[in-house]
Amino acid sequence: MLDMSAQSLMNILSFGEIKALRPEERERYIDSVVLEILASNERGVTIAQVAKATGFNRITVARHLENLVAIREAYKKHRGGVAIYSRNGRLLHEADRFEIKVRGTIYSYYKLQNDEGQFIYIQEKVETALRTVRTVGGIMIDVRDFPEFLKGLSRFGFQVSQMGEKS
Amino acid sequence: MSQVQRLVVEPLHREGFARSCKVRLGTRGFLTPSFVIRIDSQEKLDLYLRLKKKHGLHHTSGYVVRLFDAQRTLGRRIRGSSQVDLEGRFVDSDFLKSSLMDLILLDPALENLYYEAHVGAFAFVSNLPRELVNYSLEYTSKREELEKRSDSGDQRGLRSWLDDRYHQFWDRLQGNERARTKFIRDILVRQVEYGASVLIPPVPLIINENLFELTKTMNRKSAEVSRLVGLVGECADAFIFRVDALRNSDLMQELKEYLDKARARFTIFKFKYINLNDEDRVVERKNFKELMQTLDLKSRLDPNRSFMLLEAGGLTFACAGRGFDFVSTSFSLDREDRMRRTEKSPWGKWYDPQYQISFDRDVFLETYKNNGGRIPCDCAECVSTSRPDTLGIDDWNRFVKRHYLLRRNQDYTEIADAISDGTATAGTIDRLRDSALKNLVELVR
Repeated sequence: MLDMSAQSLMNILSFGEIKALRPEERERYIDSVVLEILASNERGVTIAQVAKATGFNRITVARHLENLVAIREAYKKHRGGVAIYSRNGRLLHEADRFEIKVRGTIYSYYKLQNDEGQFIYIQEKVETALRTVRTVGGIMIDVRDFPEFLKGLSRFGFQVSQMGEKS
Repeated sequence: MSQVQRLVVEPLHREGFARSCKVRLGTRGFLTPSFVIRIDSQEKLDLYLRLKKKHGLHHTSGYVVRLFDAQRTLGRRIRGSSQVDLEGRFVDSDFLKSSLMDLILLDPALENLYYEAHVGAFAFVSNLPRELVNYSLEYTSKREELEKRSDSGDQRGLRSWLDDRYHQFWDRLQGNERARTKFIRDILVRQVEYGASVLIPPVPLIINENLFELTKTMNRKSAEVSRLVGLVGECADAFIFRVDALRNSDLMQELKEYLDKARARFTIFKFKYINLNDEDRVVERKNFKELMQTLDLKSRLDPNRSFMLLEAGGLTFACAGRGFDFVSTSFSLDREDRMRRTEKSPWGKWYDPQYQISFDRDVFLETYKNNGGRIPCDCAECVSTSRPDTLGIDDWNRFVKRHYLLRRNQDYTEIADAISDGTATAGTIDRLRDSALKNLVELVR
């Protein structure tokens, strides 16, 4: 049984209603519903549970969950042959976030905690015409590995700038 | 990790069933009770922006623009808002600042599909849903057809045609979920394009039980569709009633039941042509007071809920902070809708803060003369205007508008102060007793 108020689930747009939206809007809508379900179910959800609760097709649900895993909004664990999807951690503190905007792309930094430990989560987002911010990519780095990650990043940055000067 | 701007209400003071709060919505912050002005032209928008910049207007939080007025009111400003001068400064920084700091509402105003005054307006706005434009064009050609048939125009025939067409329009949206979703989507997207900070669902004027059910559906579905326009965040619930709805106890009871379960943090009400000051509106006044008390109770149980009354007319003073945190009127106390066809005088009316109604220029000038050449108002505009009798028509019209906005802001500031001092009820009753709206005392007592 999913933890999401019955009223929220009842109001979800039906398949017929979703068809009235533009293709990219349909994707965004389903992403938003699936993310809300993940956020309300800290112990994780299966594809079947989401499909049953929302009435969305299983394949559609699986595609959206996998996409959320790919951009690190969610993570997946296998338990007894069943894939369990969970929201990728929660903020340890409201101050554990930082954001910069570089030429239309927004980079958001979060310090998150989940079952696996603490992570630095970097999201890449873009603004859409409808003033929505859409996450298009993301990376999670274990807090313990972050200094090494930074060293690698600055070494690579230096290498790239040297190459640029030579050419 | 959500980017959604949710409404957060921090109650400051309470007295009786009045409250003052700090309302936050992303980067925006408002002090309530708050007045919101309805704007329908670029000139009025300029006037608002200038007054806001000069006087702060801390109890005036923003403006409402009807969707069919949006293009001529906001279109050019939005297109020009990203222009910079040679030094890299934004050319229209006041508008840009306002779009980030003010409460901006784009009212679909679909009740106008029922009333003849503005049906035609929907045809001249680009990017509105096709159904609306067609409706409007059909009305215009029907009117012309009936006018050709008889010199005076067949008013009764036009009215009954409009009644039928109105029901047909909403019946289609009720029965066809795909068309309904597309319609909602198109209206919400237009609101976002014009910079709305809270979205208003496209709901009908409730004239029967069926349309009340449809309103609830439109509210729920709009909240779902608004997920597409993430940064705006809040999608309000909206209800548009005729004033006679206040006589329908069953309807009011159903409304209260809906409000018990509703998830929306912001709820907007509109009672068309509401005039509760009439002697014989006893039942309406009683039910309206009950509604205000119900809203107060809801906001006590969940402080993060806020309520707004649009087109409040004469109730603007009595309602401030009582159930409604935000109250809106046009510059002319919402009278233009009713009076557009009969009001011939190009001279705007002056709002009298004591009587709380607007007077013709001639009446104002007589009062001014009898008052020893002093304007009976202490708002910044009236204090700085020494000879209102010499103003030309354009200056006069600007004067009465500036006075109206400054006066409302001053009244709301005083009400907020009185709520914190615990004197709001007594003070409001005194002011209403001295006004032409004496019967509204029953709403406050």
